[in-house]
Amino acid sequence: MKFVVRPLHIISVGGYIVETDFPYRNIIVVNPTEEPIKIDIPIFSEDWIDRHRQLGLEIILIKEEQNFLSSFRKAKVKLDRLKEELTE
Amino acid sequence: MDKDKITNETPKKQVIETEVPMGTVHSAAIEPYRIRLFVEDEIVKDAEITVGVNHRGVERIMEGLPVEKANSLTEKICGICSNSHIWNSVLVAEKALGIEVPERAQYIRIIMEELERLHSHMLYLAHGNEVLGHETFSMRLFYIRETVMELLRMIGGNRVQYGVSILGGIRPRADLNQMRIQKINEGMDFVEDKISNFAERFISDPMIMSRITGVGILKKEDALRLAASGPTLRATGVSIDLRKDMMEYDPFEFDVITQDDGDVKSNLLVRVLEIPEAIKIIRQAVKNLPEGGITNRSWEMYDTPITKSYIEVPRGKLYHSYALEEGRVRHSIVRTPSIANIGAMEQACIGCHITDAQLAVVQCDPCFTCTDRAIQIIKL
Amino acid sequence: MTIVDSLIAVLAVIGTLIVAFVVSVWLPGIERKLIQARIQQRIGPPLSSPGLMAPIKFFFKEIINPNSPMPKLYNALPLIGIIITLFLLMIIMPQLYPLAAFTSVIALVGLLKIEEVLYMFMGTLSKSVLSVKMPFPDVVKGAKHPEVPRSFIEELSSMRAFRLIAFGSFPIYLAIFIPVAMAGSIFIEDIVAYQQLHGPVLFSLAGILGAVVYFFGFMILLNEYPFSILKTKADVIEGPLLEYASKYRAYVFISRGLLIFVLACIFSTLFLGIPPNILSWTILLNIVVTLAFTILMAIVSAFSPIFTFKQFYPVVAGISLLGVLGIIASFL
Repeated sequence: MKFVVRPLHIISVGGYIVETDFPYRNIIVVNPTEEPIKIDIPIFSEDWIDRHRQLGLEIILIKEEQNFLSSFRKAKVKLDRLKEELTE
Repeated sequence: MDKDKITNETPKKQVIETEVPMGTVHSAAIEPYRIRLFVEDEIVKDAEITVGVNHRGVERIMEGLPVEKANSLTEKICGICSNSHIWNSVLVAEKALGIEVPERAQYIRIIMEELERLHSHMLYLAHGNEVLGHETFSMRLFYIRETVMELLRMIGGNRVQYGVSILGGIRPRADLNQMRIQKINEGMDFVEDKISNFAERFISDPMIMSRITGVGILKKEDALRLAASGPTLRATGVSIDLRKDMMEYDPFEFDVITQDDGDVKSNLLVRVLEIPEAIKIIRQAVKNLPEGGITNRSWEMYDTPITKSYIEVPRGKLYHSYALEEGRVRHSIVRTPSIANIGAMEQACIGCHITDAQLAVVQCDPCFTCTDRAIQIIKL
Repeated sequence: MTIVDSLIAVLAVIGTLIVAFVVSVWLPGIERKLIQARIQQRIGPPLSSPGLMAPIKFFFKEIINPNSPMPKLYNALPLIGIIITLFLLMIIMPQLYPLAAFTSVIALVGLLKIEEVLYMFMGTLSKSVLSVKMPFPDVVKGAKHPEVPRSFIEELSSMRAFRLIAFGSFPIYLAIFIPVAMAGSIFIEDIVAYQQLHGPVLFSLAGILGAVVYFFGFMILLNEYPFSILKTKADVIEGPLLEYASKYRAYVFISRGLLIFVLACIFSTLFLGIPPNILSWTILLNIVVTLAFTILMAIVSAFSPIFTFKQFYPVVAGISLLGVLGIIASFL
């Protein structure tokens, strides 16, 4: 199944991970390109990560003990800065 | 569930005549999703379902909310199984904080959950018949379902999002008196009688059986590999029902319903046969309803690590988890059964006639509203 | 034939056409309100809504351009359908029997075939937003099979219309040839005359078989449940009719009611020997037969799911076999 990550966009796919056998609690996906990209969901195994990095997506992995909100905000700020550069 | 490594690779190169895309607005799909069917002579060779059209970022909004508010917000995740979400969300905090819930409240929560299973399964059967083109059966099921909706409204005050479970028990409005208990019993008698009539006519109709037998087959190995759960998994012959592992269900006797073929017929039959089982549980809970209080207010709030809770909801295994920091929710995640079940339906579509493809997708009782909660902040 | 006779004949034809219109606007309402709503224990629409009020409403709607490579032709097709249906009605009227070749079963089959071909053209010319043109990022990075050509759902219905032309129309044509075989003539005048002498075809074994086969052929031609694979809600939604709006959708509504009336009149002409004729009280029998067909169709539709080809082929084959038996019985 697919989920469209829109251009210059950030999402977190926590609810789409089959967590029973997966080392990360959450994944933040950033699409830094100017075209939509489809990702595979649900996420079962770690090879998903490399396959989607090859599509040009930025994948940020969040372990259970890490602070999800701060990682999300950091990635968001970085993306906003990228957007500003592109609109200049 | 042992599961060998799953790789979401694109299948081998196939010769495909054409692609017929449908949705996100489509008369067979009551919720928005996009499906691309790759067909050859109207037989589906491959399918791609795209979700994410209905996302609302519920988990993102929950981040930092007081836990009671976050719990009631989860009820908005789904309009069909709203009780399941709020109950499971409350269970996470109760488990984390070690809150003891009074037995009477446990029983009433079970009654609400099973009533919700009844109306959800009947909605599923009605929608399935609608996609089959049998509008008479569809209308008939909606007519029978009204009785359950009326009971839910009587107890919770609403036909949808009844707001029964709260931290430590249930809302006072949801308590049951003698008049309500009698109405529940009468309702169950009516539903049991009508549903058995419907089941008899449904199973004995050769036209319908011809349309649903051997259509949209999901094999047991694929169902396990793709993490399907609930009736969709049980329709392939795997006898897993989380209610048998939930201590809340210990006092009640019920059977785990399974079928073997994993096709549309098996999926419909599992749910038709689960209805009498749910009625059985409701009758036991109402008959043995313990006396006493319905809310435990003697507990303290403190920080807790991420706690997880799984319960069996009408569509399968529902997973809620979050941590607590100063009474506020941190890093919540909700995984609904539909996400894996719908993914498995891409597999079930293969080999179907294109008219049966939407039926194959609908057979897993997909709830796209539940599924689409990825945090995606977009400006349309 | 004097001028007065000709004038009476023309007025009779016009009068019968008017009766056809007046009766046909009530048939969808009878079907959906009196039969299906009752069966499904719901109130249902007002009797006049589906066949009369809906077309009137659509006449006042704003005319929009359909998503079609040839919008004018696409919009003209339902009108052509109505004209074909009126021709079908006229060639079974006694006033036109003097036109000989035109009032034969061959002309009947030809016009029915055009009625079916129209759906093919409609499906080919309709490009609604509900499939390929939906503004949705389908073929993007990460998508499956980006190289595969894409089809509209209406093209699917067009292909199905072609299949229905090929085998779906067997029952109705086989049924039509039973009276031909019994009367030994392809001319409608002779078939009617034969029945005035020997009694209705319907009251014979061949006639009874023919009537059953004709009824199913009637439902297939009208694309009614369970034979509505051409416009299955589960995949092609409304199929070829998707892009009709405003007055053109009104024509679609009108032509359906009219086709029900005309096909029922063809039955009463060929199987009862009662052609539609306003100058005779037997027009009432035509109306009664029409109501019977409408009610029967509504009941069968209410209690059946849609057939995919897996069910369609064997059912049509079985009915056609019945038709062949009917033709054989007509020689006995």
